This record gives sequence, C-alpha cells and structure tokens, in this order.
Amino acid sequence: MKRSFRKNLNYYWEIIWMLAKTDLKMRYEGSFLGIIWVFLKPFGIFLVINYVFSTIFNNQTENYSIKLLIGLILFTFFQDATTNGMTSFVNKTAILKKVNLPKWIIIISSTIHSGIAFLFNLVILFIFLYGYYQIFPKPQYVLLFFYYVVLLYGVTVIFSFITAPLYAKFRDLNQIWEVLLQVIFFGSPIFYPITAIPYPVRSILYANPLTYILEHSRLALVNSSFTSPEHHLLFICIFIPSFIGSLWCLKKFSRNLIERL
Amino acid sequence: MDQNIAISVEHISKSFSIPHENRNTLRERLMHFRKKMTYETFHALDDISFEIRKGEFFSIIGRNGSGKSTLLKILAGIYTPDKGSIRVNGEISPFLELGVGFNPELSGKDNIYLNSTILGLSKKDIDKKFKSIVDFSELDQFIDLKLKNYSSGMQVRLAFATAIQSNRDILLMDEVLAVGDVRFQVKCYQVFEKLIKSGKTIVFVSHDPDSVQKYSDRVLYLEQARMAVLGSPNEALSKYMYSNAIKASETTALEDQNLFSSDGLKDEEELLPSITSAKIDFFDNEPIEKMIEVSEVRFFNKDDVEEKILTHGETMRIDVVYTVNSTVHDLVFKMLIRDQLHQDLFLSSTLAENITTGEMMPGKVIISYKIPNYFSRGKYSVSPSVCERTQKIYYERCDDFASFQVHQANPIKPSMGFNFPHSINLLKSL
Repeated sequence: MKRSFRKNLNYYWEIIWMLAKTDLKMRYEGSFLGIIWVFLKPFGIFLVINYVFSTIFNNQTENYSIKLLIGLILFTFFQDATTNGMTSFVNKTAILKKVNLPKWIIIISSTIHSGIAFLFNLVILFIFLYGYYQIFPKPQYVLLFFYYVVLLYGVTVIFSFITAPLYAKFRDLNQIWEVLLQVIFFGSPIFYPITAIPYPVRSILYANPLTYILEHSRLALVNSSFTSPEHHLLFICIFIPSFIGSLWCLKKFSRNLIERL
Repeated sequence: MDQNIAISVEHISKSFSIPHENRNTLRERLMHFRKKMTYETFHALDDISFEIRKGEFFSIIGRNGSGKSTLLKILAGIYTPDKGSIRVNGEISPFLELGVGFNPELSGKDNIYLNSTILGLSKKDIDKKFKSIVDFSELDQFIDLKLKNYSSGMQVRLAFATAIQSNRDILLMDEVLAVGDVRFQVKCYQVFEKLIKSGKTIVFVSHDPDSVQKYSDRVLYLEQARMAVLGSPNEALSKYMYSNAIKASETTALEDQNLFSSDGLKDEEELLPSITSAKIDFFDNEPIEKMIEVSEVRFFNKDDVEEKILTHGETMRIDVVYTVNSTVHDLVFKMLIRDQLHQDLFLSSTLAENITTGEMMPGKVIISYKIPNYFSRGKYSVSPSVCERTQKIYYERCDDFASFQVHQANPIKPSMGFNFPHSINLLKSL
C-alpha cells in the first residue's frame, strides 16, 4: 500500500516479463524445431499464397510479395496475441487463484510472447526488405510503421481485456473466435490490395481496424508515404474511448471472476 | 486506523452461488436462454469481525469447509466479500498456498525465479538469495531437474524455502505444514520463530491443533462459516477439539454398524491373522448357534453416565454384555483395546487376573472393567473375546466391536499411546 508507484511498476514489469519468459520456454523448449516454429507459420503461408497469386494467377501488382509478407506477419501477430489474450485467465488459473495480481498483468504477459515471436519475424522482414527487395524506407517512415505496430498491439489488448473475463464464462468463445479470425483474414487486405475492392464493400472493410493498420503500415514501409490524415484522426478518436471502455469492461466482468475459474 | 492494527475485518459475509446445471458455453446459454438458471447458495462466511495486531501470530482453525480458506482468500484480496469491509495496514504477502506459480515443466531453478518474482522480489534480490533458498531446501543436486520429477516432499521444501523470502509485513499461510517430514517441520518452526522475532504479522490457517498451539498468540475458531471462538489458543483449541471429538463419535457409530454387519466369519479370519485354526474348526463343526456371544459394549464416565467421549485422567468404565445361549463352563474373557493405527495397546484377561467364571447358564453376563483413563486423545476400539480355559478354542471374538473417544483438555500434550501422570526433575551438575 505504501509502495511507491515506481516500485509497483517495477514489480509489475518483473512479473510480466517472468510470466512471458515462462510461456516462451513452455512453448518452444520441448518441441523439436523449437524457435523455428515461430517463423514457419507466417513464412509457410507466405510461400503458398505468393506462389498462388504471383505465379499461377500472374498477379502484376507492384511489390506484391513484400506487401503480402508484411500483411501476413502483422496478421499472425494479431491472431496469436488475441487468442493468447482471450484464454489468459483460464490458462493462468493456478496463479490467479492463489495470488492477488492486477488482472491486466495476466493478459499483458500472455500477449507478450506473441510479441516476441513477432519481433523475430520483423527482423526477418527487414532483412528481406533491405536485402532482397532493395527497398529503403526513410527512418521516419520506419518509425511510423512502429507506431502502427503499437496501435495493432493496442487493438489486441482492447480485445483481450473484453474477452478474457468472458472466456471464463463462455468456454466456446475461442472456437467462435477461430472462425471469426478466418473471416477477418479474408476480410482484411492481406493478400489483396484494398484498391482491388469496389466501393460499397470497401467501406465495410474499413470498419475493420486491421484494414486501416495493414494498409497504412504497408504504405509507410514500402511506398514511404503518409496519406489521408483524416483516417488517422478517426482511428485515434475511436481507439482511445475503446481502450477506456475495455478497461471498464475488464473491471466489471472480473468481479467474482476467480470463483468461476 | 490504529497504527498497531495490521488487519481489521468488519462484518464480512461471503456466499457462493453454485448453479445446479453448469452452463459454461455460449451455445448452451443460447439454447436454453428462456430457462432460468437456478442456484444453490452456499454461505462460506457469515458476519466475521476481528482485528489482527501488528507482530501477532494469528491462527485460524476449523474443519474442512468451515470457511477458513475463503477468509484467507478475502484477506489476500483474491475474493471480494459480499458484505463488510477489510482494512490492511502494511504490505500483505500475495501468497497463500505453497507453490503458487509452480510449473511442473520447468526446472527447480526456474521455478524459484518464477515464484520469487510473483512474491515480489526483483531479479537482483533473487540472484542474491538464490543460494540460501537452495541450501534451505536441501535440493542442490536436483535444482536443474524439472519439477515434475520431484517428490511431493521435495516440492514442499522448495516452495517453503522460496516463500519465506518474501519480505512483506504480513504473511498469509495456508496449511503450509500439512506435508513434509518431521525434520523439515522443525526447520520451518525455526523460521517461524525468526519471522516472529523480526516483527512480522503472520496469519496462519490450519486444522492441525499442535502447530497452532505452538506459536499462536490468538486463535480464531470458525465453525460452519461463523466465529465460534476468538481468543487464546487454549480456549479456542479445546473448544475445537471437543466439537471434533463429538463429530467423530457420531461418524464412528455409523462406521461401527457397517463394520459389524459386514463382518462375516471369513472376514474375521482375515482381520485377525493371529487367531488359531482351532477357532475355525470350532465354527465349522457348529456353525449355526453360538454358545455365547457379545451383544453390547457400553462406556461410562467417572459419574457412571453412559458416554462415548471420555475425559483423559478420569476413571472410565467399560461394560461388555454377553448373551449365553447354552450352558458353558470355565471361560476366559478378554478385552483388547487398540488405537486408531490398529496397534494393540492394552489386553485384559480374566485368566491373568485369576478370576474363575465357573458354570454359566443361558442369560446375560456383564463383564465390567474399571480403568484409569490415561489414554491420550484420539479414538480407540474395543475387541472383546471369549475362549475356553486352554485358550485353544474361541467361542466368540469380535474385532473392533465398539469404539470410544478420548478428550484431552490440554492440547499441548502429544497424541500418541498413553499419557501417564508423572513428574520431571531437572538435575544440573555444577
């Protein structure tokens, strides 16, 4: 109670990091290919989709493969982090039942190891970007890209804050989310550019926050451009209240949560 | 709030709603959205109020399901009470049971780091304390082994060694000493002493009277969600143990019936391997009617009032009632008393006491024993038997026919075998 805020923050950070490290170890240490799995998922899909669209359908979109790769890596992170975030309370029941920790710590720590896997993928992405595709975005655009990454992480956190306590109540949410993720995969401009979609449908796609993040992060990295500032303003205007709302949801839904686990 | 108070609890109540039918998925909810969910309400805590002073060793005892663990979870902030309020003065350790974040797939070393972090230690602190944790747990050579390969005793040692490193003002401990060998328990007690000396407040939950008695300043005894006693260890523990004894004797009565009804002759042979084969021969020849049989065993306290709970130190009486079916001569009556672990403690025989029984006509015979009750607290069984003079043929042998309970007012005395009144002289050579 008398702990200073900084000391508390340190304590929280130590816990988050320790739990995330444990998750990482559990996930990759025992498996045969270990850390290779982290890369296999997005890059495997990348090879398949790239072959299908570039070679079979003879797609002529400029810089198609690198755009596809950026989209896939971001989507894989989103998919992973939301799933881990949603199931975090149930997965960490043993700890929650015995220690009084702020609930958000559990959620954040569960999404962190998806974040670490994502960072590994980013390294490969930049190697491809500079080495293979010979694209050199200006530093401020790289920074802009990371801003979108932070926003993407924010979206997964908002999602997890709302769904993690709900998942304790409804244990089939993860199956529903799996299906929805498929829908989102096809409903986001990952393997097609948003410009390929005719207008009435395109506005529907813009309701998907991923559309905004994917489109603009690709524009920043590949084209070194920053367009339509009204989009950004609108996004932030929705993002901030959603974040506050999700915190409220977490607090409200978490009441008596532990008894239900 | 008074600065000398560590925790103040005011009128706390907590109940749980247990649904009759678990609807854990969205699909089930949608399918039965019209059917109302019905609940069973379970009152875990009912109007609990107390204060714990700083530096106090405060114990909470009660039987399983009395609400003590729920109370501790509320103190730790894991559960929120339905009614009432708690105020905590100082940092409370977040840990409850041992092995909080323990992960069987990780090595002992990793688990120490994980658990200590949750307990609030920084990486640097753990690095410093790591060696002393390992030393205390005596697990040097196993520390890189995965936890799932540890025995339960090893896990407890590791958990306790880690847990005591938490440097919070108020420590909550739930059944920490329930497992672990005697030598390690002694070590734990030494730690308790050190913690108390360093002025920490300890809230200790247990159903073991001995460990509660040893260190507590005050004890809260919970009975069925309510506060039964809040006071000195002696006061609370004697009440706790007395009501325990009553509960036990109620269940024993049931067990006795079960034992008796299922106790066929063949089972008896298994239960009593020491019985000579002569007895079997005897029953084989004449299986239908016993010449003499035990019909009842009754227990009396020092005032000759029939009771199943007898007080230690007073004189007790055991009456064994036999029914004689046909005339028998020169019998030897025996009575064996065993403890809970089925160890023979005491055997009385009319032959050894030089009592001749002569001829017995059909009817009732009562053998009445007067014994000074030096049994320590616990449950004891009575096995009466009758044999002929040469002790080759047993007419009747009823294993663990009835049982009684011994209540001991002084909870500090060990609960094993006999407690004879005695004096101790301490002689020191100069």
